[in-house]
Amino acid sequence: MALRTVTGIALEARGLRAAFTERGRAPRSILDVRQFRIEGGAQVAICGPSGSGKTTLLHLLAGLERPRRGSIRWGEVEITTFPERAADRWRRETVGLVFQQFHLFPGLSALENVLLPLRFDRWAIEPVLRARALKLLERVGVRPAGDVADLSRGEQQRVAAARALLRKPAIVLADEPTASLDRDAANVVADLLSSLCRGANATLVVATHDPSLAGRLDGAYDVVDGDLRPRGPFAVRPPLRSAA
Amino acid sequence: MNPLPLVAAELRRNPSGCAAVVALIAVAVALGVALSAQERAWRQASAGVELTVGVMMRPADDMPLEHRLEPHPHPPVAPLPIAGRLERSGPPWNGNRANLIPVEALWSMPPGAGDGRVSASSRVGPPWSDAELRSVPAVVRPLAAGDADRVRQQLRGRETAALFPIEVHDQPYVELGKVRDLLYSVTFAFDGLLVTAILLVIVAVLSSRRQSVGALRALGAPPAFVFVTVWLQGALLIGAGVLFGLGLGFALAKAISAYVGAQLGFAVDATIGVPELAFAAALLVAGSLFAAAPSLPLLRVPAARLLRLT
Repeated sequence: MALRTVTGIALEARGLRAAFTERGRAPRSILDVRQFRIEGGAQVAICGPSGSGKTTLLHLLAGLERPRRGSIRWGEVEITTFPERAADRWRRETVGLVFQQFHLFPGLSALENVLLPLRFDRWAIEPVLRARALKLLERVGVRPAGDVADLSRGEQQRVAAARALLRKPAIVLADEPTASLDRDAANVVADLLSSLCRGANATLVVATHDPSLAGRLDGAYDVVDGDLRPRGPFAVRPPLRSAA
Repeated sequence: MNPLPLVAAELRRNPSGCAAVVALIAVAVALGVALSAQERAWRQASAGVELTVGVMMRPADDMPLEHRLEPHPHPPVAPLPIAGRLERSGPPWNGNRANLIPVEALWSMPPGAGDGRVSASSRVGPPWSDAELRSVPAVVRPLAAGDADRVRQQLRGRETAALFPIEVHDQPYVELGKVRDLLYSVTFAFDGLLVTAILLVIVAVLSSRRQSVGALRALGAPPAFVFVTVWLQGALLIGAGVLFGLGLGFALAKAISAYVGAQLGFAVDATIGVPELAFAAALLVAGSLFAAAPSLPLLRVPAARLLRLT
């Protein structure tokens, strides 16, 4: 099965409202986004204090949550009205996710962790895809063998980045990817995420409060009162660096 | 989909926990299997040798003459032809072990037993004089098992030559009853423990895996993948426990029958048969259904909520 590699399509949201429901509490309105557009292949930071709705926005883009109203479109595709199966498929085939807490699976090797998203819809891994996984691991500088539980936190997040990019996603969503890393590891991960997405021409949306990470990207939005405000004019995209 | 690598990794993560669950299930299954095999073996052993009509036998030998390896040193009663067979009366432990013989055969027993011939002037029935009693054969029919035991205790002695039915079956009854009651109570207690332990394991697994299930769903795993992954872990542990339990139960059944058999002088051979395999299969099916339980509540919670738990 060939991987779909449609890139260069913009993400657009309009009139997006979302509430955050905590168990046993009334829903709290958290996002009220009038309009935003992220060009295909662009790299954007979503900045704001914790609780401002960054994670909710990423979940909406990933199809993990549904807005109360409004729409998110990726080209002709309307994400917010996906039935569950279609949302699963959307995340599998189009979105790569990177989490603050990595969410790797201990007991599996780095290679098996990277290959895991392929296990969701196939029994055997094609040699081409295995080779791609090995190449990605080489790119992020982590040995494929050995339990991921034995890796440093920085190495674990690099494995998670490789996992997110394995299926050649059009969009990579990263939720505070450097927040639980020390400065040096954070820099390495930030560079890797940016250059891997650049190489794959994937759109990168990063929720972060790390100015150093935000500074590496094409531009940043601040979440203010639930709306997204562009932070100055977006930078011109830097030339393509080494491809993954 | 192929959840096997993930299932293997999850099981490898906690080898001691897995071993404990397998051991718990194995011991519970072993007790059940050993109990069932043991009970069946005793039922079969107590059915005794089939007596064929027309064959000669000595009543006290309890088996046809041609089955005896050595002649009885002091045959108490002359050989008698087997004239017929009683209907099976039903009690589980004795089958149809009772042999009815003509009372004349008792009267002709060797000296000390008396010839039982009564004169015309003799009176039959109580009150008996001590002198009479010592040489008069009597049939005492106790009304209850306790009475039979009391009769045996009072009349058993050097001067009496008597068959006390209660004596034949008393000892095996008591021993078997003890063994069975013990096994039953241990099994029940253990099954209670087992259910509690498995519930605790489920709660522990649930709470520790919420986030990783959320991560799987976020990465695009279909609910079926999550379900099969969680289910397989439980089903594999239960399957391994049942298999080990069968082996352990076989060994346990052999050991118990060897021990009890040696104590009572019975040859009892407990083996794993169809009922034990059916018991294990039923447990396996029930366990597999049970193993589906932990993943179901997880699948109903939206992945986004599972991910937010930190």
